[in-house]
Amino acid sequence: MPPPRTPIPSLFSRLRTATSQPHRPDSTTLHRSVKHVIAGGIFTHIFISYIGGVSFTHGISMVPTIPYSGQPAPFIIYSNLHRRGRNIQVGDMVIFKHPTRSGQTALKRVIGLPGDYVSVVSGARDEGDLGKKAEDGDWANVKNQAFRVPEGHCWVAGDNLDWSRDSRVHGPVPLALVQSKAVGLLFPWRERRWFKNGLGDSNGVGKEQVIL
Amino acid sequence: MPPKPPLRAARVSSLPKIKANSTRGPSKPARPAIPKPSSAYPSEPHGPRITQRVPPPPSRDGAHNFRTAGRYIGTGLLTIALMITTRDYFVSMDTVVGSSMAPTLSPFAHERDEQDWILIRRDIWARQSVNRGDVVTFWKPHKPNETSIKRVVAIAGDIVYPHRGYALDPAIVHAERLAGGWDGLGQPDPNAIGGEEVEVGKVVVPVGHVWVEGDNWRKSYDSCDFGPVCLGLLDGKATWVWRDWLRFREVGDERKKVKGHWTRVVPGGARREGSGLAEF
Repeated sequence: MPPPRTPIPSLFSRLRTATSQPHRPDSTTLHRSVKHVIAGGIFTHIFISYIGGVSFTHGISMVPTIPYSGQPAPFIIYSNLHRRGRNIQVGDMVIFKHPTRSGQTALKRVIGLPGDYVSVVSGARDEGDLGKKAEDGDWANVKNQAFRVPEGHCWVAGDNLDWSRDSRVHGPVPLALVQSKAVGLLFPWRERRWFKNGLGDSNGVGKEQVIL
Repeated sequence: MPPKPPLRAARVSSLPKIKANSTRGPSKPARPAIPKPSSAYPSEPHGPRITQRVPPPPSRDGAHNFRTAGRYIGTGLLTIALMITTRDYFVSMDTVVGSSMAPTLSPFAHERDEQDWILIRRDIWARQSVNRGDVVTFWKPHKPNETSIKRVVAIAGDIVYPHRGYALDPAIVHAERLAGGWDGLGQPDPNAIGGEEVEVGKVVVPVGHVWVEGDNWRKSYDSCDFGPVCLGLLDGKATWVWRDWLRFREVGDERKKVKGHWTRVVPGGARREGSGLAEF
């Protein structure tokens, strides 16, 4: 007696099954997946806002340190353990809520902490400064002013002083606005590195031009 | 030729009987059997799909095994995370320490050491509707790890004539300050018609800032001392007060109960009353 034929499972029969009888999750499975999505969102929020994460930046104000060439935007790694100015030292790069533009954040380097005296150089170049060159040591209509950083504030400045809107424009930033500290550069991938603390961070390009 | 079916079913009486008073004790509850996949249907080669979950057998040692302990820990962590998220995005409660908001909040903080509980809203609707008269909590500009609660007296674009503070000190107003200073005092303008001097006692609230003051003008450290507060420092909006068990009500404005010196505010034309566009 020959053994009975077993039907060969074909791909078409599986397709027909999938289209005719879709797999519908029952209420337990649905409830569980919704719960997992909510829990994942909550833990993501807590991780991003209290521990750290990865974010992209825009602008040329930190150019020797964070290269910027339009798209794609550079990615940085930030640590939120330094929020509200905890353990921030002079030379760290911080991400803070913008004091005058609500809803925006900015990334600059801390130049002075409460009690420090900062020599403030007036902001951008004017039309009369176009003929001046940096080699002459006279690159803009600078006005020097000594300023003492008030209590609970910090003085921030971009590394690219010619093209930076920083404390010269919006004044000292309250340390309570500091959200995080930039820790490393992730993208562009070839220039990935951890940021060192200190002001000699630029790659020798603008080292002599950083005015303190 | 197919095999023949059995002629008779097996007799029930042939199974071994269990005595009522057995020496082995009560038998354990049997685990429900998983139905075996049995189908020769070509569309379901592996048998029908089992949708019903088989409940696990009751564990004998309850919370003492690792699986249950891990489940308890996970539930606890999720609860804490849910509370943090609720505090960050929706609502929280806090006490009002000190008598700087005295007729309205914690009126007997000094005499009887009684503190009010307030309900702080942090949702997007509360954030977008900060306007004159609202009681807000904010991080102190001069102390990064402390919060304070005051009333928003003026928003960006308003002209404020404070009743005290740095704006009334001619030594500060006429001193050389930073260009574009955000203390609202303005800079001497050589091209102005009325004169190049800065007016003493007049503050224009800068963009992205609010002017906050306490209701108790005698004991309050507010914008008259540290200047306008930027919107990024705002933390939440105090909407409800809980003073006693039966007194849970909205935050009102009881400044009229007290006679005193008040800051005069000229509303600017940038924003009208009731159309709060400020967002923090």
